[in-house]
Amino acid sequence: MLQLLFILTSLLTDTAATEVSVNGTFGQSTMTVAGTQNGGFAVEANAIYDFSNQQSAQHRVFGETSYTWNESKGNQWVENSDYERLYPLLTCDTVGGGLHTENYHFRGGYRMLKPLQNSPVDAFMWHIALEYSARQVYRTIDPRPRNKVAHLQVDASVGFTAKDHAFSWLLQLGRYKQNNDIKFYSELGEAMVYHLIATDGEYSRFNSFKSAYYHGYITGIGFATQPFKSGFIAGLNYQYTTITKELSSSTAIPIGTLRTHGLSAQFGYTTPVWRVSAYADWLQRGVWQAVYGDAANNNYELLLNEKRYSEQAYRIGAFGSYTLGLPVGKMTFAAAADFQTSKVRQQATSQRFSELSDELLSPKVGIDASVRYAFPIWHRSQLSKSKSQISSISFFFKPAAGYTYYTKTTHQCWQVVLYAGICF
Amino acid sequence: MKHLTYILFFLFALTACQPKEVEDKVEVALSIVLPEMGGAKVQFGEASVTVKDLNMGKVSTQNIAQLTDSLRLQLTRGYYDIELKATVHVAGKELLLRGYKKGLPVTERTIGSLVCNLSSGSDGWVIAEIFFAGTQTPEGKNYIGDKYVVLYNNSSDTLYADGLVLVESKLKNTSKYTLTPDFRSEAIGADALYRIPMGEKQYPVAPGKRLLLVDNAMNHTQANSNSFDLSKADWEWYDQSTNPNVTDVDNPDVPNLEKIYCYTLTIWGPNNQGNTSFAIGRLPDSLSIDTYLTKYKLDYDYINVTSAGTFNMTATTYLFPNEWVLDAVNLCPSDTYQWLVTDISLDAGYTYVAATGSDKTRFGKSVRRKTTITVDGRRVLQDTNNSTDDFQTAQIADPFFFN
Repeated sequence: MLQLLFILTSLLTDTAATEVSVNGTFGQSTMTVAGTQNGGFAVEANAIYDFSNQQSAQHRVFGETSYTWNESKGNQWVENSDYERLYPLLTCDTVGGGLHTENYHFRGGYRMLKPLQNSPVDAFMWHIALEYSARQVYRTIDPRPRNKVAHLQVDASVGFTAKDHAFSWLLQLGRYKQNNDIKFYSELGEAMVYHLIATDGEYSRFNSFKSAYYHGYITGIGFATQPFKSGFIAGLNYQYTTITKELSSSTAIPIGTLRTHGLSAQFGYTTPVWRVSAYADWLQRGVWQAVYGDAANNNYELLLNEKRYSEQAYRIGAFGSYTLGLPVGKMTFAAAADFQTSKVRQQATSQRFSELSDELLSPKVGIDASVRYAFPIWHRSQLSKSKSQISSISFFFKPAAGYTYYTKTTHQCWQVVLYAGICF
Repeated sequence: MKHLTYILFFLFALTACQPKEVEDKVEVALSIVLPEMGGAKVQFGEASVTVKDLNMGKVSTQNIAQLTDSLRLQLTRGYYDIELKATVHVAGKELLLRGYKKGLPVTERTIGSLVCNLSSGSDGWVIAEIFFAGTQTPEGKNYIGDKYVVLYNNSSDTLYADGLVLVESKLKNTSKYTLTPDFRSEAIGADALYRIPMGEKQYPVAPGKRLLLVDNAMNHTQANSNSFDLSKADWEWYDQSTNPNVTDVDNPDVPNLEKIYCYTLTIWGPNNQGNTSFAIGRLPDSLSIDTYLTKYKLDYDYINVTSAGTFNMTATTYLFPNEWVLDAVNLCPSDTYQWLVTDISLDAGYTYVAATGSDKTRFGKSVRRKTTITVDGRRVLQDTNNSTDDFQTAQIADPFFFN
């Protein structure tokens, strides 16, 4: 949910830079829902280009792209991608196994900052950006899920700058789709496939269905303010998501719709050297189950849609960073901690998924820390007609680590990531 | 900032206006319609009602202290099967009273009736065991040809098997269709009919003894150590295949069932997913096979709805009238049930070896009728015309369990 605030952060200040990096990831978990072990790599590139016209408007085009490959082992229960987004509308089995994931991500946009004369504000600003993510998740032994995820999103903002702060209102619209097919090649038969309608209960009438299609919309609005250099940062945003799960047979059968309302707030203070902030999220998650009657002629008669799962989730967290200038280069230390818990009302239908339910709903404490060291590897001073322009290329590397402890289930997981790249 | 606050309040108000959270229940009131007792004094004994949520698979049973003329249940909105079971004493005899309400949609307070019938249990021929899934070789391969059906003399008298017909239904309990005409209240639509040859009391079966009807009467353990020696079976079904690549095996030492009709031009075996229903019965003595195949052939219509459109379909079956049926057993994987393809008077339930038809745990498992009591070494098998109650599911198949 804090995504909107991060979008603004990268737009308003010049902390974002053009950089190319690679990273390697390795992690382990005692919790099986996402695998007991995972590792992978990613290649990322972010670019920003600023230019101005004769009316002194400042224009910025920006783009991001990344490719991520990941392999996990020991996955159990869930055969979906994005289980944290989709639960409890999950497709599950009791066999599981490691999964291969490939992810492609693109984002590009434009921002304009136009100074205003004779106005109480200094400048008017707006931006628009288009983002697309595609993911493929698969396994090569039975059960063989093949998940194809597409997420298209547009975000736009309008705002102004006054004195040393910028203020923006942001709108976000997104479309989400996931095809979730499970195949079995064994001639002997198949393991059971379950379609959850609650975190510990399946829609047993549709247990034999192996193809599911998720589709939905994401909308969000937000407000944020932050300084150009030093000052307070604050943000508030609301996001509404609706995703429907359909089962595919000879006809499409919607079995449930997940609706979430999320509110997040952030407040802090930043300077060019250090930054602290605290944030809080609230998320209401509800599932409206499609209740069916007679199914003559493959035509399922819809009796009603009824809310049968309700969850309120809360998260609070804090973030801090400090940048230390060194004789050569600079080093940035960052750390974050958060706590998340939830309350659930649901109609439990079986004990088969109680372990999964505990894993999904357990309160958890997470901490993350990273150190980024960047130092110049190439430096050039260039005199133009009117001003001095300095160009440099820096190399950076950043080890990062994260640890999460699930207080109810006593599960724990950790992950380390090593980034290396160059920035301009 | 002020406006944003208003917007957020508006959104929260919207959240509060979402459809009502409905875990509350609604009342289902069913008046109990008792069968005609001929003026005899009726005394009710123990009673219970079982409710199955057909969407969520939850089954709940509650005892009823005093059965009255109506049932009042509090149910979550959904789609249910409701079964009432009670013992009644009529003229000094204990009978079982059963009433069924199949496929009841409940979206609001619902009023209906529950028509009950009396059952005294069967004491004739019953289907004692059906093994339809086949086995698995030690190498993990699917092995067919060792399927069997056990018929059992559940009476205290010698019965004769002459002319007994084994029937497999054409319709599947996993696929419900609107049939025109809907013949289920009058007959079973058959896809396969095999008969023990007609005779004059040629095939006696003593009380508590069984007949083993098999696909291939051979020692399957030579090819698959997980299978059985069926070379001593009583009967086998044998098909003259029209495809030279798919042929049947005939054991000359074991008599073949007489084939009345089968849908396949190659070789028949019971549906290995356990979707169909089986019955045993007899054709009237005066009815020849040719006449039967002429008079009881039925073309019926049904509707098939697909994502490509709605299609009117026509199919053909051979009717096996309900009054000819001695016993019927519905098979259906537990999680894929949609309807009963036999009339409720023949079998009001279904039995299974697995949750889905393609469940790989189903191999080597059969459904086997429960034993009520054993009298002088003779098992008396349970037959209340409800195979959900009468059968044990997913048993390790043993063709010689009943000797």
